[in-house]
Amino acid sequence: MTPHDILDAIGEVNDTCIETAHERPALFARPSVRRGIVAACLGVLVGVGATTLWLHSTPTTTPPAVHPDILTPATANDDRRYNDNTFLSSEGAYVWPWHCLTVNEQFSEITYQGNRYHVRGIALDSSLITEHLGSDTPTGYDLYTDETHSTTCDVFAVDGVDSARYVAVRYADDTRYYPAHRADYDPPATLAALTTAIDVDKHVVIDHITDENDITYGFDQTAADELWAILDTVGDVPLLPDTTVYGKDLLTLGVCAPTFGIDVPRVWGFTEDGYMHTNIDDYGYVWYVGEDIVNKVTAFAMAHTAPLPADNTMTLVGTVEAIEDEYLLINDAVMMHDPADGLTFTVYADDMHVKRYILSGFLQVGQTVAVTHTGVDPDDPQTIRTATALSEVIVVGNGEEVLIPE
Amino acid sequence: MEDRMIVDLYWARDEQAIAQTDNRYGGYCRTIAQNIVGNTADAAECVNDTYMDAWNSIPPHRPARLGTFLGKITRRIAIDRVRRDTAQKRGGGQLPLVLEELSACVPDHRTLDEEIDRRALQEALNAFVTALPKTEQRVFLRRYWYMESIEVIADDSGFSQSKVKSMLARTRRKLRDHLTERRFLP
Repeated sequence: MTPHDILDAIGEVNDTCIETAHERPALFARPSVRRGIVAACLGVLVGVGATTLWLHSTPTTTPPAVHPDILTPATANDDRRYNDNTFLSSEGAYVWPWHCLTVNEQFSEITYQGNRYHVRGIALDSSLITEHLGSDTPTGYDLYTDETHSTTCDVFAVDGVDSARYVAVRYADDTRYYPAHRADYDPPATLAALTTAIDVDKHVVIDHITDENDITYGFDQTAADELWAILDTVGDVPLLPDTTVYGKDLLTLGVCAPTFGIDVPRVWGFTEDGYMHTNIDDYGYVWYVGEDIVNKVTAFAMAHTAPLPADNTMTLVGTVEAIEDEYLLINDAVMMHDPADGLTFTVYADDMHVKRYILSGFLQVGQTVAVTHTGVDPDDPQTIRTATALSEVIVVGNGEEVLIPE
Repeated sequence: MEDRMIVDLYWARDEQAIAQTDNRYGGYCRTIAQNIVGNTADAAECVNDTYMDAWNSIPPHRPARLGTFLGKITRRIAIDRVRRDTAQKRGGGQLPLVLEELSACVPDHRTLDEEIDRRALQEALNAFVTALPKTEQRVFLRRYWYMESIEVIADDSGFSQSKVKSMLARTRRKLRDHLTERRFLP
């Protein structure tokens, strides 16, 4: 093998990783935000059509990397006149103080029975917790002070899930349960060893399917059990220790596992030459299940297509008018064809990913921000209680009007 | 214009597809190409070649994510170009440095017996990258996918250059272990 082989293989890593490489999470520092925005302003701005875009800036003399993400209106039934705008996002490039991190960010790795587990940030439903397995004393590192912190946590089993693969973690002084997955490579011996270990019937959701022509469909969720049942008939096929060459995918399932904190779909593919592969468990696994099974699964899936699931996240873009302890006031006049149409929204900072902008003092009145949320109460459409993320943006408009932003 | 609409233009063999692609993804592709080839003129040619490749491959492809579809084409074309130019003793962007770094985790030799299974290696790399903590994953991909310089990554991320270097070195060591476990390396 040569470095060129590695370079080529890296070129084929999954699209989501490539797309998110320029996102700047909490660990990234504030000073770059300013430089990033300025550089983005000076950089090459590509023209856009009626669709509004995010342009992730790169503070260099080269043009900024571009990552599109369609914005949606902040409120349902919004008939105000919007401008056709382009947004440059700095993605909140901060090193957050220790007290502004979520607990799973502070202590992202725990040990159970001598094995390391990575903790994910999406809390799971407590009804899925079964027995108490043990406890640990994880440590975390404060980048501001170079101090090492420690806490205690309890480790629990998740209903129907092999604790050698996934557990739930509850930190001291926290009532939530976070999924944690085994960090070390521990491949399942057979297909059934995986499907039973993670209880696919119960915990894996088929978000969408993609056919051999790369056309994507939704999937009828009521048919999921029947699809997994087809695989039960080949549960004893062994994992291929040396992943062999396999052909083109006839069918790809985009699978999520909310129980395990996997909300961005992973791949579960079926190939024309009888192989099946998935990275649902973080590592890539391959089995030979035979062309008959592949054809059967493919035919079944294609007979149970459905409309693609709607994206339920929405984004409010506006200017910070006030910063209070528990909420922000944000006016979206910057989005409007006529600024007088701007409305002021109250955005509650219940989620630490928003709250830390207040706690840290990094956010200032007058800054333009984008708030991601999952909806508003129709009876109180200017109050957002579901904000999950915030980032600084600058807005570049072409002066043209669109009635409803796409 | 949305990806879906642009892809429809390709399928309709409408040359507006190229213009709309350039509008939406020209900057993105130029950035990737520039990082790899190291000069604007060659980068522009790589981007033009990318559009030609996209024109020839859509249809039959219908990429769900047009941006990364194009980005991968640009990256491949730009790398091929530098490989060709390097053979002719011409330099090129970050690629030689990136290869030197990667050689630390992969011995640079090959015999017929060691001809690797590319698909398996892609799976292994994908699994490795997917499992990395987010920050390491982003830094790793910015260096080895987008081939941004250490300086740019450090400046943009707020880390010191030495921290970026040490993070990359640690990740390369993990990669070597990962490949060794899977018997890609002795």
